[in-house]
Amino acid sequence: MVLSTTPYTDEVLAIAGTQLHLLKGGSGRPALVLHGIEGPEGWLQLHDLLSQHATVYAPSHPGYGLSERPDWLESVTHMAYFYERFLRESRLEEVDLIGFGLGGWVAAEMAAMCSHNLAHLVLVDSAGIRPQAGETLDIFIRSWGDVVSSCVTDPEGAEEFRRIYDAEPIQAFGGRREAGRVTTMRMAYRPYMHSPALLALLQGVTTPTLVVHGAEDRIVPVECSEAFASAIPDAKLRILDGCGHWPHFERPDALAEAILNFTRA
Amino acid sequence: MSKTSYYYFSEQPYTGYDPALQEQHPSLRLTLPNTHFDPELASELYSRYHDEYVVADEVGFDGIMINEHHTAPFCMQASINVTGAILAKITKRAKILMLGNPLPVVDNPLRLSEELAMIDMISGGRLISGFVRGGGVESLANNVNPVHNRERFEEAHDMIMAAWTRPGPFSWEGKHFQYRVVNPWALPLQKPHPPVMVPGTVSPETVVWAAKHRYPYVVLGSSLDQTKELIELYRETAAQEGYEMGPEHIGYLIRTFVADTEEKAQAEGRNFFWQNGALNKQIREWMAPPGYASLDFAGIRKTRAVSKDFDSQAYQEAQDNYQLVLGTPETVTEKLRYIRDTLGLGHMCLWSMDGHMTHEDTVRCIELMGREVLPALREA
Repeated sequence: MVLSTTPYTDEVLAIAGTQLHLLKGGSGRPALVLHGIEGPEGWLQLHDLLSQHATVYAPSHPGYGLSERPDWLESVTHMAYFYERFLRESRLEEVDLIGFGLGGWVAAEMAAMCSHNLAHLVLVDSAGIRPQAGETLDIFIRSWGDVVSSCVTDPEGAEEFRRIYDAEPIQAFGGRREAGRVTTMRMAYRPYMHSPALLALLQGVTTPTLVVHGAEDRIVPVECSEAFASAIPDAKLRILDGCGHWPHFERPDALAEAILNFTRA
Repeated sequence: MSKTSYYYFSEQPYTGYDPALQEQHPSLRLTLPNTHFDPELASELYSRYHDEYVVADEVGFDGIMINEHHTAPFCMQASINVTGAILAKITKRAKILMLGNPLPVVDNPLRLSEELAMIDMISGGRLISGFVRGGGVESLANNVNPVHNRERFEEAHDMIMAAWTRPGPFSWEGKHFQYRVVNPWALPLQKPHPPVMVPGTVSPETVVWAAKHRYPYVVLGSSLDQTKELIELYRETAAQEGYEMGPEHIGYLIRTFVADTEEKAQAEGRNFFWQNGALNKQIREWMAPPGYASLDFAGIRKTRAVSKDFDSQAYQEAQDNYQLVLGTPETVTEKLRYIRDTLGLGHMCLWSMDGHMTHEDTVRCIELMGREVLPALREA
């Protein structure tokens, strides 16, 4: 499949006194795309599709990949504070904030904290809420290989997933992804994968919001996105068939279309 | 030559589960369902294990070593302090060697300092209060974040030492523990505080920490070559700290079984392999979760010798490598003497019961140890 690839820059910025690794490409209104527990995996197809209509900012979170974790950053709330500073120090306004999984949790906290610089909020299979009927899969008592293969419905089929994990297979211990696994554990271990106050705080969000969930997500139950969509005033909910926890790897075209239709409406 | 102390040890194994469970649960811990745990059987086992401790005390072991593990049948001591308290009453002379309280899983180290103080007072000053970091799996089983393992270990240690030695009342405002009032009316008998020992297997960080605090370091059954390297690291760190390492600073845990005949010892020694290497079948995420240990501790070399883990060794191989000592009192004495003198040990922890060994065979082993092996080792 031929990608029409937008050029993008690869740089390290000083933000809040720490080093942030950032990929950036495209033109138009800024779109800040926050990755999940998978960690930074380079410039993805999804970034490329969004960059046709937006300036995509794809940072590696502090404590993931090449980005440093400041000593004070121990929680998702701290991560949200960090990215608020990123927006201010980068002088970004009217931002489309898009978060996947753990990144969605960060985005939700940012929106709850400070909506004025946001144009739209998009949560994709977002963590951050404790499900009532089901359970969020415990990623900390499983091998990383098991976790990763649980994140897609068809490990053999998903093209970008294959590209990433064939190029750099999972290591049980160490390697480039280790730092991110440590930071995820630091932030999301207890209470497990949620902020107890978040649902209540989201009721104050005024940013137009789209909540997306893979119908076959085996990590975060669909009911979590239903709860997000109920809590955030006027939020739209879109369930994507044929994918699990990582629609950005499994159905990037459908996901990009859903996001762009929403943000460009 | 300074006197070596000899301690008796058993994990207190729970042997009542169906071994076929290992097919579905290769490492036999953490998520092995506790529906397979029978408290009636466990109750009998506790009773028998405690009777064996009394025998060890009576036949003259210098101490009894106890430990703590969670959610695993290989060790029924879910609380080392409960066992310690029991020993305080049922034994009269043997030291109570705790190896060790897993500090990272303790949410209230002040309470722990009080419990340990009680054990020390009730036992008449026999507590040796060992502290351990514990594997990552202990944190997973206790709702403690493994990322904070080292920090919690060090802060809990500092807090306990303060509670024992600094006059109260005072407040404590740390990163993980915050107390308005530290003023325990439970203080240890031994002054300035009970001895502290630190067990370890391979981590250089632990050796260095122990040496900097001048705490004896007890190697838990690593190969002789690897143990020698760890001892060397302790010696070097001690020298940097301005003191000379002696035998009193080094201990070693060795699986040992004594019987009246070589054949009996060889037969019973198989019990040390009763779980078919389960502990080595844990996924990395259990023993050393992300953040549990620094991948790269600057300035500390990793050991060059690589321990072939106990369970990977063939039965005779483990004996040839001195990681398993089996035999009659004569042959066991000779082998233990070799290990003691090669490593320069001030503390020998003799792991003498495991798996399906019967109470009778265990008692006989303890008696032979106490009446023949230990006297011979103390003589030369």
